[in-house]
Amino acid sequence: MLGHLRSGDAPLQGRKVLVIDDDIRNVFALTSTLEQRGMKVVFAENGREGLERLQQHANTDLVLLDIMMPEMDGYETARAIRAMPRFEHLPIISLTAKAMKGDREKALAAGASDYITKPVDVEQLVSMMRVWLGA
Amino acid sequence: MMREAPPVLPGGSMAGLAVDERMPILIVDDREENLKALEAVLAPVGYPLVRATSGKDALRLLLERDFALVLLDVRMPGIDGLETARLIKGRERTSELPIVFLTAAREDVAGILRGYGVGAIDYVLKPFDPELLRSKVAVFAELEHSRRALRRSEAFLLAAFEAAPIGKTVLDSERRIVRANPAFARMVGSTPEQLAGIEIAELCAPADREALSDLLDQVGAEDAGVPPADDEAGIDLRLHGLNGRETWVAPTASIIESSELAVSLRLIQWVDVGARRRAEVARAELMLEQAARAHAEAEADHLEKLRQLGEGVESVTVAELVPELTERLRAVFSARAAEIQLDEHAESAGIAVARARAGTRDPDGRWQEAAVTADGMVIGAVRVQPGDGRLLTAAEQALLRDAAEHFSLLIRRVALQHREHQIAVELQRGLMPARLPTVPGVEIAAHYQAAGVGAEVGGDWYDAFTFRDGRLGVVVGDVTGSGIRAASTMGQLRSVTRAFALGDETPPSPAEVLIRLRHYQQTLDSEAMFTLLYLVLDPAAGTVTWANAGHLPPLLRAAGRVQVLQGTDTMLSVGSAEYHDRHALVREGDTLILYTDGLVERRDEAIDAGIGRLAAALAGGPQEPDALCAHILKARPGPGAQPEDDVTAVVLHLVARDRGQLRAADGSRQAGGLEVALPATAQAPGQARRALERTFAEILEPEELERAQLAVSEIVTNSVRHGQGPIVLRAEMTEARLLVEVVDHGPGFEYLPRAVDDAEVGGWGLSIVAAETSRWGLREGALVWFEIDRDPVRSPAGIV
Repeated sequence: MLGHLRSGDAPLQGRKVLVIDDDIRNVFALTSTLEQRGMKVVFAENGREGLERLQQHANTDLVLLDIMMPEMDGYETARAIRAMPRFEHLPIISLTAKAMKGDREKALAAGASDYITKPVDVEQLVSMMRVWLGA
Repeated sequence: MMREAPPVLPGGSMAGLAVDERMPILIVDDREENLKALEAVLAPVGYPLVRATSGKDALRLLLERDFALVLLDVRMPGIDGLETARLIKGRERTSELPIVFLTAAREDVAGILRGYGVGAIDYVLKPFDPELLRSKVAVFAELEHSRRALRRSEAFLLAAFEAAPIGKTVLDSERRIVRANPAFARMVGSTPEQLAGIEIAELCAPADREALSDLLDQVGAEDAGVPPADDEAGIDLRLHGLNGRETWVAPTASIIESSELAVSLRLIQWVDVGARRRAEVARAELMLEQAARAHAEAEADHLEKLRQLGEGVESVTVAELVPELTERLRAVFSARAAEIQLDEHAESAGIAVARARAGTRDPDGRWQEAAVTADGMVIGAVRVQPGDGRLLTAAEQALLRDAAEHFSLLIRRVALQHREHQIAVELQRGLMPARLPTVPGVEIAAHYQAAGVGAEVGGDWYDAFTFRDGRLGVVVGDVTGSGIRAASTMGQLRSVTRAFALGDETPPSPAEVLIRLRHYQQTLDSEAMFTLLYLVLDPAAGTVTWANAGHLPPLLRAAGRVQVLQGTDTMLSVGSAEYHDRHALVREGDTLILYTDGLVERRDEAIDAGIGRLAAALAGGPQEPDALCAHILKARPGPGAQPEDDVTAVVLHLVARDRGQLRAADGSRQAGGLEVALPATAQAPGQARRALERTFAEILEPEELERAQLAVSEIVTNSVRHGQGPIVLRAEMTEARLLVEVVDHGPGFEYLPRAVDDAEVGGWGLSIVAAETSRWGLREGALVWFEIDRDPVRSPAGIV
């Protein structure tokens, strides 16, 4: 029984992340990574659904937001989240394509707290999340 | 201190360790019909089913809930089965979730086994055997069940430790605290984190340290996990808290042994002395917890091993299967040697004798064995030699018994499938004539194609044989349903039909043959029903006589016109039935076709539409029988390479005979005329007269009709008296004359001299024939013909 006790990643353990990405494969892979670190994951496959999820899970600790999505894209979604006062300070990490340099600035301007390029480097993402959830 | 929440564990019961609800099985396929089939097949297994129509759907569902098993179609648009599985296996929560791939492509299998070789992965080839799929699903789902039960029991144990109201500490071999629960921490005024690493003696009043040490020594010497037999054996001592507080407790100690731990730890439970009774309950709980876990672990192990023994077996014969299973047996038991033997008793169960050994046998070692059975009879044994003189444990013995049972089923199934296939092939071969007979005046072609799917014989058959007098007999039959039993009975029926048809000095008519067959069938122990068409073609006489027991009607093509030869009696079955001979006239150039439903039947239409299509194909088809056969097969509905039912066709084409024809040499034959079959009774002459009148009264002059009626009456009378069996009257008009022919089946006129002598004629009353007709004659066999020339002046312009 003791073999299964996990030391845990203290800042991440038990925290809730909302993953918004239109590619379910990315959602699944990110979920696998985050769950491994003891996090709880909620997901949405487009911006609109993401906002709904956020309303349902108001205790969300962090949002991982894909920028390239059909219909309501990541910028629009980030702006909509920020427009709600109670999520004014919610950490939002945007996932941007590596080639698109202007995307980062646009993402930050739209309200993202930070950005990481796709394909996602797991270690980089985890340390970034530690920073944003550490406090 | 003890007035806290009730224990997390349900008191003294193992019920909480059982998995109450069944987790659903996820079925993933992009085709609705496949999902439906899976649902139907898996319904009896008893797990709820959740469907997904794409890899995307499946991943979404997996994120939202847990499943016992995933059945995954390999080939799907978008995220295919292999990628879906890769993602599933990459997620910790689902990494051990069993996946059974469904694929129609054998080449996918290698990829599946290579890519996901370890863990709970299997595949089933489509179209799948429902029983096989069910058994795989059941094994996997149970496995997953046990695995979760085990996890759950671990969770219970952890909860029991953390949330227990009594103090608990786990000590390492140095007697330092590895972990303490909150209740113990409170006893000594600390927190679990602070207590980690502290030597337990430090928390004990100095005076009691020796007693504690003795207790721990004692536990080390005892068998694991046995608490003191009674309260007298227990000790009371004082805990010295970090806050200076002293608490009287009764410690009980036990050893924790787990396969997951390299060294054993000691668990000590500290019970407030005032609460000793509760401590007893706690001890009982501890024992139950340990028993539950041991049970869950053993069960999971057992199931996993059984799965390894039976999974993905590909052998198709017993000879291949036995060595394959033997090797697995040795591997799963890690045995020095393993052996499977099927002895001579197997043969009486229709299974080949076989023996295989894996590993090297220890000449002095003992075999431990379990019986292989078939239908409750022992037909052999599976044996294992563990090696090093070791005996199998009780759990291993149980596994060996289960393995033997499992193998018994596998061996029987493989033997049965193999045998059925062989028999089907044999029967198929035996039911068809090796070559077709040759008859002057008839060209014959036949086609048979077995149903494409599976090894089932569809039940079609045909036969052709000749009579001494130059007639040709053709039989076409079909068994309703399919399968070896029915086809085997049909095989007997074929021999018997031939025997009945050819056996007598005077061959019986088709209807008589069918009547005898029906009597014969009633002596058979079979409830199968048969359709059968028996047709006798007399190329010399230009007649065809048949009787039809529920079979599709033959078609006749004459002068480019196709006619369905109607007249069908009931099929051969256990009930009573009557059979009748039917007759038709045929000529040189005519074609007959006999066939089975595979040639014309299509699921979505009435059989008549199929016959219509065949008739159309026949009308426009070539003369030559083989070419015609090919032509009508092409017109078959859904002309795939693999018919769903047997397809049989026999084509008979009448051609010029070597010997001269006696037929009136008038080429200007016209449409219209008469063909009628008459019974060989006293009514026949009258019927013949009336038939002529009905047909030709409008056309012939009364005097001409009367002459014809007189002549026909005499001839038919003669046929009734001397002939055998039914009489056929045929008549037709040309512009110049009326032609009438009467056919019977008797020895008839065979011995008449070629030139007709008046004296002989008189003896037969044929003088009238000679007098009333313009000319007349005989054809060998049993045909009398005459012609009456018409008065050219009065001849009408045309005949309808």
